[in-house]
Amino acid sequence: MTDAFLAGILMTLKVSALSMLLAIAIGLPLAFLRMSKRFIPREAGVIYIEISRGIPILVLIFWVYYGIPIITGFAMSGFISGVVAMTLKYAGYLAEIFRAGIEAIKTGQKEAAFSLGFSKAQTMRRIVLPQAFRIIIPPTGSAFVGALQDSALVSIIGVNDLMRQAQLAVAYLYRPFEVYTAVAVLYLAMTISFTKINDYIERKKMVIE
Amino acid sequence: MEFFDINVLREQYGYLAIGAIYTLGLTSLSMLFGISIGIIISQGRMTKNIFIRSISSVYVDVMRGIPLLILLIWFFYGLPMLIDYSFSPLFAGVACLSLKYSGYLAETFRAGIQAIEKGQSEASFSLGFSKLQNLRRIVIPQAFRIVIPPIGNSFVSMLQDSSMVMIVGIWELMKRGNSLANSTLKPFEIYTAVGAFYLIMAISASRINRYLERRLKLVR
Repeated sequence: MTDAFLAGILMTLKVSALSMLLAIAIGLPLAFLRMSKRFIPREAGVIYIEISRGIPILVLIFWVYYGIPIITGFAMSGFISGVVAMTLKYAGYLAEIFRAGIEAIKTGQKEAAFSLGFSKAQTMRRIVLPQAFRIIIPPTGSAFVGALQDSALVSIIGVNDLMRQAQLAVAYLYRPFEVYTAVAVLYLAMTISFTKINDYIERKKMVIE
Repeated sequence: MEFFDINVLREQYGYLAIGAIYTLGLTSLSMLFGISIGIIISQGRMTKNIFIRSISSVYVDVMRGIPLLILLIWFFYGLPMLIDYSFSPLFAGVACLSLKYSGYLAETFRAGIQAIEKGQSEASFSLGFSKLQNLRRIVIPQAFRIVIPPIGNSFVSMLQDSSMVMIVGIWELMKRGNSLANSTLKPFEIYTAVGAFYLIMAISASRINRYLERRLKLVR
């Protein structure tokens, strides 16, 4: 039983971490798209963010897992569908977090860099992003804790995560109260530890400033 | 095979629309209970009694840390085994949404109340207000303006999370979409429509929220 739960925990962490990494990779360019001065890229960014933030993750998971294969004729495993759906959803949240972080850096900083002869890309990479990074870390950590919780939904499309291992254990032991309580405690242990680590990083960052 | 079969939606949109109304009703009801529990817990978080304060703080951590899906399944399939009593799906769904969100809302209320400067309470005490009077007449009316926008955000999140109550078998939007997708064998069209329904509700709610936020902004 413990082996199954351990495998489930690993799968839960794998799904959430992978989705989070991919969402960061998509969210950052999306944030720049959203901040673009040109109309079409900016509106494209706005529309993506509004849609991804307005559709429930459960609908996205079902849409990707059951809907997409009928259109493309190409079936994806539950794992890939789950990661794709979570990535689509969290990229929108992260783009807004990144935008807020980047916009929080005062324009004076940018102007100073330009006056020192920095190019636009250099300013972004050397001046704005390193400072924005500190602002971005805590809300990104909270988003990860959210992703960890939402990842339980991939059990519905047959991914063997912690939740699904619990359901299998219940079918086998017929002890729903004990098993689900244990699983709830395991999820809590994960989310609370990550929250505490995140709070710690946030406090540390405050000290430096 | 057509790319997008609009006919299936033309026949079934009424069925989904009723589900959307259920979703809205379910969310509003859970929000009301969530706010009530949240206010009580936020008071517990701020009392001087360390026992009550720790219990409230653990409650907030647990509710915020437990995935809604696990809470639902524990409440609907696990707990009845222990207490030998089964809840109706509707009760379980509303209870779990309320409990889960009461944790977030308690923190919202605490932040809102703590944002009101101490001098205000001190001034009202020196004018002879009782503690309860001070809370009701001075602190809450001002905190109310601060907490409305985050409550609106919680409503938008809950609207989306309410899709998970399909697991316990409430016939709201998601459950109807799921059963239609299975019976019509058109999951792409049906789930796109379900997503559109949620999107319209979420965007309208956040627009209303943004309007309220502008209107209620405290002039300092």
